[in-house]
Amino acid sequence: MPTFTHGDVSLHYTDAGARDPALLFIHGWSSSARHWAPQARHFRRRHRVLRIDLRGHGRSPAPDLPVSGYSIPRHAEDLAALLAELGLAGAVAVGHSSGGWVALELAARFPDLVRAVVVVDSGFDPPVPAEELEGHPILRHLRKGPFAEQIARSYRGMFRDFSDPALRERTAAEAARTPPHASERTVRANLRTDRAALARAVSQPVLCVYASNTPRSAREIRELMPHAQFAQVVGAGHFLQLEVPAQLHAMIRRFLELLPPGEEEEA
Amino acid sequence: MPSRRRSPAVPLHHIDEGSGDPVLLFIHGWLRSTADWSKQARAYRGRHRVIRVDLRGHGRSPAPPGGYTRRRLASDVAALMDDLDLSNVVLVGHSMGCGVALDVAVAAPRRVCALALVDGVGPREPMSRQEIEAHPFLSAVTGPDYRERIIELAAGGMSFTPRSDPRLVRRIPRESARTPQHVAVGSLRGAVLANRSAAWGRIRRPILCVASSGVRISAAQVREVLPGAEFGQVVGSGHWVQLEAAPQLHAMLDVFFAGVRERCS
Repeated sequence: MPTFTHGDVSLHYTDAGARDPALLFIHGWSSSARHWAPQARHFRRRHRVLRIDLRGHGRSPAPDLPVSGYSIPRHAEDLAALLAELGLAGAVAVGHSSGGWVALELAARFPDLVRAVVVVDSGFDPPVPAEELEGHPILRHLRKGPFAEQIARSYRGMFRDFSDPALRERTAAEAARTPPHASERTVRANLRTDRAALARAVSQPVLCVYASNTPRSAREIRELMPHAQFAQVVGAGHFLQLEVPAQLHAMIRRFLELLPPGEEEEA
Repeated sequence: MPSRRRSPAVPLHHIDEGSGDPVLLFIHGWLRSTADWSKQARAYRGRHRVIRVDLRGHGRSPAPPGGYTRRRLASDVAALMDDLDLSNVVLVGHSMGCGVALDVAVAAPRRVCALALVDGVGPREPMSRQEIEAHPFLSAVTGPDYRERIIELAAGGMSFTPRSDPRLVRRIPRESARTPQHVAVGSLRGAVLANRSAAWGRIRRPILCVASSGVRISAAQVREVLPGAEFGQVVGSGHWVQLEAAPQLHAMLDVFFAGVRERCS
């Protein structure tokens, strides 16, 4: 797994395949590049595929930074630095859960680097007010017991009763290895962010794919992002990219087919 | 099994291919035919028995002067299932064919084990007889220029997206306009616009609803009509999801079929 350095942090990423547009996969809270393995296998035959371990996650280091060091803008800046180092422009950013917010931030702040965004099962809540932060259900849950166990517990809850138990346990165990300070600071930074504003700031084509038990609807997403497309998979919980990869792949492929041509193709 | 009396059923033209459980029985929509399911037949006949029917008055099935209500269309399909002595059938419907499939499940519960409904169940309130008679589609297809009007209807509205394959956009309206006028009028009045039955909510079978990309209904709204239904929605497809977004539909159907395999064998 190669690394690149942004500021004081050396981040791990994987890079496979060749063709444009490059797909940049961004994992969510307490997850890692590992949780995009089926997508890397599927898409590297057709596209250049990048997966990153965000700072504090997977094999990337977890420096002792304040909450602001684990915020959505910092993660997005890391990704922008990676794309710049590789000389890549016009990538398609695919983010899962809180990685979807990073993908949107990256697209809004670095429009030349990102041609389109795929958001996988991300919500778009307003920021949690500072005085309500400590009482937020996620932080309360994390304080209730040993950190690793609590993370594993919340991960198990992201699967459905019909989900593959082996996949559920493996995914939860991987999440439980996330350094507690990085995991907790990332959650705090996420909760304080206006995630609906991130959605509204993006002008590139957006596809939002949701799990089969989502409370969100096409109408709600279109009110937030009038140009976004809404899709929903069948038979999967939050980690739909691991549970029903074939559905997600077919959706992303159709989305890519219908993208307006890039500059290099028009020339 | 003694055959139940469902007279007078029309013997339906159908294509019966492949083998393997569960049996998949495909039911097309208004003015359409078995041809709408060509991609599904290719994808599934290697693993399943795949049966595609032409509903009464459609495709190569006989077109008697009457009997184009949703229930009569469904009882023809149920009679075919009786003739073939099918059980553990997964019905797959499109558009008007979804309501027909639901009526088949109500009429022949022992033969049907699950339903997959493609772009055919909406949150609309049931229409009254007066509302049906006043519907603009009906006046469009009752006039002497009905073929031109069918071409307009089939090409307009939510049928296609600006990025739909132009060949499909030309082919579907042209083919649809070949339907005899009495079939178009009768099935529009009796099956397309008569779009709801209280009995559907009591069907105790796994149901998957797949929506095309322009649809704005939610899973929760679908469940108001069909409690417990699974809901999926595809990217970049007009109304003919099975032709425009076959890979996405098949990925959804694969998961659904795997989930019902035990119950359907």
